[in-house]
Amino acid sequence: MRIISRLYFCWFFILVLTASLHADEQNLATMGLDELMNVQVVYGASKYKQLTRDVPASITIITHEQIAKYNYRTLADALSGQRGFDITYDRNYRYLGLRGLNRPGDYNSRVLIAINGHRYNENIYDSTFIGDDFILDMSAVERIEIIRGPGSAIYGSNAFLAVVNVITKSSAEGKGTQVEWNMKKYGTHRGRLSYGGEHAGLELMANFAFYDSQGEDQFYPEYNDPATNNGVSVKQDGEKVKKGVITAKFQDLKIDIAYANRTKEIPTGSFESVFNDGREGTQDVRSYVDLLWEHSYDLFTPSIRAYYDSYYYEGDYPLDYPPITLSRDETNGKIWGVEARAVLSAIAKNKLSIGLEYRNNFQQDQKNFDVEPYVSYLDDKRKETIVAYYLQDEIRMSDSILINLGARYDSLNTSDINQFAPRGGIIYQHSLKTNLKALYGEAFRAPNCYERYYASPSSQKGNPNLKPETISTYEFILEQSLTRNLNLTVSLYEFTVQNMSQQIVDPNDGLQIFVNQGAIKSQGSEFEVEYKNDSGTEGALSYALAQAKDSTTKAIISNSPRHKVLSRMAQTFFNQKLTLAGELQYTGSTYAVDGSKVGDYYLVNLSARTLDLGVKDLTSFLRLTNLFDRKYGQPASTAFRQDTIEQDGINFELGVGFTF
Amino acid sequence: MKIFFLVLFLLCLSPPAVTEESNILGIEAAMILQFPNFISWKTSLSSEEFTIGVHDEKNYLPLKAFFLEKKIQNKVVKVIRVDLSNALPALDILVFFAPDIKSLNTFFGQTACHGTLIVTSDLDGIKHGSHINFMVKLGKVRFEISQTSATQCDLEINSRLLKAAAHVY
Repeated sequence: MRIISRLYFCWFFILVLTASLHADEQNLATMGLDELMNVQVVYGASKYKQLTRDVPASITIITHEQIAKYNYRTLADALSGQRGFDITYDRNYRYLGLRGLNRPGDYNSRVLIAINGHRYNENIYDSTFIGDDFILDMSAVERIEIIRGPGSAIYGSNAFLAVVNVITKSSAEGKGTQVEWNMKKYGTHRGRLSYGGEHAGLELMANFAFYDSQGEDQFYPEYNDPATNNGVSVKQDGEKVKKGVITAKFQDLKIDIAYANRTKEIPTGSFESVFNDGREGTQDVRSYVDLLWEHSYDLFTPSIRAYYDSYYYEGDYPLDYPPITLSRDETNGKIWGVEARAVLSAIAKNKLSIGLEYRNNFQQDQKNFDVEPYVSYLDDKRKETIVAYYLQDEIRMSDSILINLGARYDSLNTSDINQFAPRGGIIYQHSLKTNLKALYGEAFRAPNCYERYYASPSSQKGNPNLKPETISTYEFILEQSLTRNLNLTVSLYEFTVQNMSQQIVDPNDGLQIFVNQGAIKSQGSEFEVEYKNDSGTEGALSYALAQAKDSTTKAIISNSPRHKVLSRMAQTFFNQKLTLAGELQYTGSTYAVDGSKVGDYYLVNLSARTLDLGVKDLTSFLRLTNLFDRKYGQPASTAFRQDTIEQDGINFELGVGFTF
Repeated sequence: MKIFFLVLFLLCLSPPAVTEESNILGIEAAMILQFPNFISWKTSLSSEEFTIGVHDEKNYLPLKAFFLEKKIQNKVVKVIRVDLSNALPALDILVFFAPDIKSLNTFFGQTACHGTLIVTSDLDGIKHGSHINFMVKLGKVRFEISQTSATQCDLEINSRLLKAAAHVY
């Protein structure tokens, strides 16, 4: 590996030198208006607007045009087509892996998802939702900013592998009243009503959506026994979601209100549930209110954010003690917090960002009980406050060298956790065509309430002394504009995760417990070529190589595909009234948690969308997923009897929308 | 990982091709440099030089550095700092990026705006009389145009620029 690693560096060195020698004299003053209008700006990396080339991270931005072109219906759809990402599904939740790290059983707590800068991870499991359970319908999304690498220097805990900041549409972008209805296989319907408008200076955007799927029967050979219906789970894959978001802006004040309520039937017999019982399922209710005031003065821009978050989870698992009894997990999480921040430009060549955040997890309740007859096993109530300070400076050393230094200090009052997370980067802008970034960052993931306090006498016990996981990352990025329409991004990275929080069985009592055990080291590289022209054609081809190994055993960790190849292409016709798009996604083989090999697979998705074709203001679309009906499975966690969970075959989604 | 920084160090020894700060202001400045290609000044105020007045102190020096030795309409660009509360010299472009957009009204109080293109970067820029107002939209620097206000100030905006605008009023 060391030799391969050095070869990478040598190759990269040659590539960089070649790029340097051929760097032309282009600068902003020589760029045409069209080119200037294509330079991307990102907000989520530093909590203020920056050009992507100035950001100390590898950035991808998914625009709402791309979301429409490829008919991405969920955040998972959009992220699965992005370099380095690996999304898996266990027929309850979708899991987000990045750069070879997607630990089975982790509820997306190693990626921080923000919505307009508001932290979306809840406060019991630190989980986020990326499927249809995501709090926003994709039609409400203006763009998705993916900021790879550690982000704890700005965001604190959970910004471990990446920050994904989702920006909602403004009133102007979603102007008018829109309705949309669509259907797909398995008795699935989806609908949306949205509105955007401005009244007396008040900008308003509202978006309400529902999703209803009956699901289909699932067969699991692990349960192929007459006592368990020969492995067939009958009509237990249904899902229902109701969600809505309202954003209002008046002068310097902005308020976001969002709500999502999702129930999901589970067909897999997870957590030793009785297979095909019909009662196994979960409900997640997530909501928040976020109030933001921001004003620009001559030399500084202060902002204050205040928020209230709520999360409710209910999980029903029929267990055969015997007799068969319905066991229920119930959690309630509530947060309020404030964040004050200022961006100062008073010092020449410096852009200083300072912030203070206070977060009060004033409710972190977990219950576990039998429903009938009622027997309580866990009734745990916790509170926690977090105080954090952060500072970042963007220093322009010269016309071509930008240095970015930042750090955040988090203090959690209840668990005596004080964590410091620094980040630094040197960005060398050789020309507007060649940009080099050398980055180092540390991040952490504080142990969540579930890992520390969940206990059930028959299966699990808490560990209040659990320490934070930490990650340190080195990354070297080349961003090279090859032609006016073609851009190359190359990234080489290495990260080490220490104090991994892993669930093991305590040999003394046979109970499962989360402990800090082991370390993971991942080395990898990513290559991406993106094409975009003015007539609406766009596409990308990327290859990601990730080698994530257990530092002790040197073995490749589970659920960590080594190779990932992604390609996409969209072309517009008839003055952009028709868009055809296609995606090819190849995922290399990996290992299940028991060490067995999970085969590689490729997926082809196609979509077509019309706008104003024949009828003005009418939109129609068709999306075909897994076109060649590939049979494939994805690794499951230890909560399942199955090593892998089989995924859906070919499916279609057909929809129409109208704007009034 | 030391190799990372060694490579970077070696690269830093080579002369850069970038000559100005490529931040958002840089993009806006480059667009201002392009705008006169799409605008006809019916009334030319300055003669030998193309004069750009910058109202706020924060952006004056960076804009002055950007336009150094640049030419617009074959005239050398001269960037000057202006204070709207005092008498103004003849300007081809007024750049008003200050946060107190309401004070732009004082400009109209002392001049009939003939032949001066007003460029702002404020949500309410157009409402307060701006001709071209910058914004960040969909993650990119965009601008909106008030054709009505521009016509009132004897400026004719080319259809290509109007087509590129996010909104035209």
